[in-house]
Amino acid sequence: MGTRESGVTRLLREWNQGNQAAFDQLMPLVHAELHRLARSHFARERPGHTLQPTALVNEVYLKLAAENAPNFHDRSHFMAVAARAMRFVMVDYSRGKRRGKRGGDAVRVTFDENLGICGDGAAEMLAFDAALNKLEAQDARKCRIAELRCFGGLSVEETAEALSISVSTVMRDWRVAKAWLQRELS
Amino acid sequence: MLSPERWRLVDDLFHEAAELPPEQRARFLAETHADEQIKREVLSLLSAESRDSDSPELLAARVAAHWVEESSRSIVGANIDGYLVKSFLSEGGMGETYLAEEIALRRPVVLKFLSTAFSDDSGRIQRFLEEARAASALNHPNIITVHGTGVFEGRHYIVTEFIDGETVRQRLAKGPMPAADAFEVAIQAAAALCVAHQAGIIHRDIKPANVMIRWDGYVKLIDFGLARPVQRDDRREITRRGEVLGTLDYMAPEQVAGVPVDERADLYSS
Repeated sequence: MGTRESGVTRLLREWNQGNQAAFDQLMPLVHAELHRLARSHFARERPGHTLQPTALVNEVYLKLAAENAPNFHDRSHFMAVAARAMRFVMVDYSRGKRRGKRGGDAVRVTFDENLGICGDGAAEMLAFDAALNKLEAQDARKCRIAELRCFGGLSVEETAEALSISVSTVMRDWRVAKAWLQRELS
Repeated sequence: MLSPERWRLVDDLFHEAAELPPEQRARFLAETHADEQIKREVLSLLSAESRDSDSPELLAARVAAHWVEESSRSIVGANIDGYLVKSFLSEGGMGETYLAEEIALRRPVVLKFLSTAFSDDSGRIQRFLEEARAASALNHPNIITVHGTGVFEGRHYIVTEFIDGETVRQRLAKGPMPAADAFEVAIQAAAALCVAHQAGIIHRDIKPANVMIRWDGYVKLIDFGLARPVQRDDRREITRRGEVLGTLDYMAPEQVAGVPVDERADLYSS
């Protein structure tokens, strides 16, 4: 475990220093940890406890980086990786659902009724991903903001910190990005 | 796609217009020097914003919730001791099977998990592992190859070769088999049983669902879940006395009766 954690710390540092390859190396680590956590959560059988996906991303941070990246700034940076990983996971999952190859649909899915969730949303997620790619081509920063907000569950302040921009810029950009995505998805 | 300059103009006009009451926005835009394409873009963004549709955050949260829920029940995507689980294959009374890839060798394998219902049932676990031992003791082209066993998150599993084909049961569901094909299957299955019996192992559950036909024509005996050594050994009595396991339609009379079985029971079934 020690080697993996120090690996994450090193990669985070290198990425913060502008090494894009470090980001690409971080991705599979975070990706694997997301999968591991998601799987292990209910294996522990906690009746009545619904894990919120954003809590999962936070848990990945605690597991992989918290010890070595304890400050707010580092956490926000790590979240940028985690949010991207979460997006990939969601897209993979949705593709699998569309192909109908997941467990022959033998798995019954329950949902958080408080959120009024219904349907699996796989088709919408793939459309969302395509819309994000389109947004990225037009305005990469707005795409990053949308990714952090939607897949990382970051607040406006955390998003600003992660991208090293002001809170007011995040608010402005997010408003446009959201309208843009809503237009694409309707 | 708009050029960066024109996109920036859309961005600015969007925020300026958004400050105004909705009914004044169109007039405001009409009075700007922006061209039609820009105005249309700004107006469509403004109207999308006021639309009461599912927000992107909610959509992401919704899909993520489904994924977490399903992941917790599935091991697809997990790396289990060097096996990357690719997809769910089937579920039976004893547990589930998954298609996986042995990462080091890049070959497809099948992981067969004992159901969590039996996690605390030492008898079941012993019988499950006996299956792996029984099949792995046999080296024959018509008998499934066992690569190993393991424990993942408290669940025992067996790793076997992946047989790309269908069971005789699946084949029969498509329609009657030509006599020559059925004969070929019987010959290969009998050859496998012969080897098993020589090794002192009785399958005890020979039935169409436990015989696979690979696409290249090879017949493979699978599922040694009920197999047991032919010699009666009181210290290792795996199926409890009086407990009858097997598939009724294909069981030999002495197996149903719960009395000691030998090689002849398998041949009765096949």
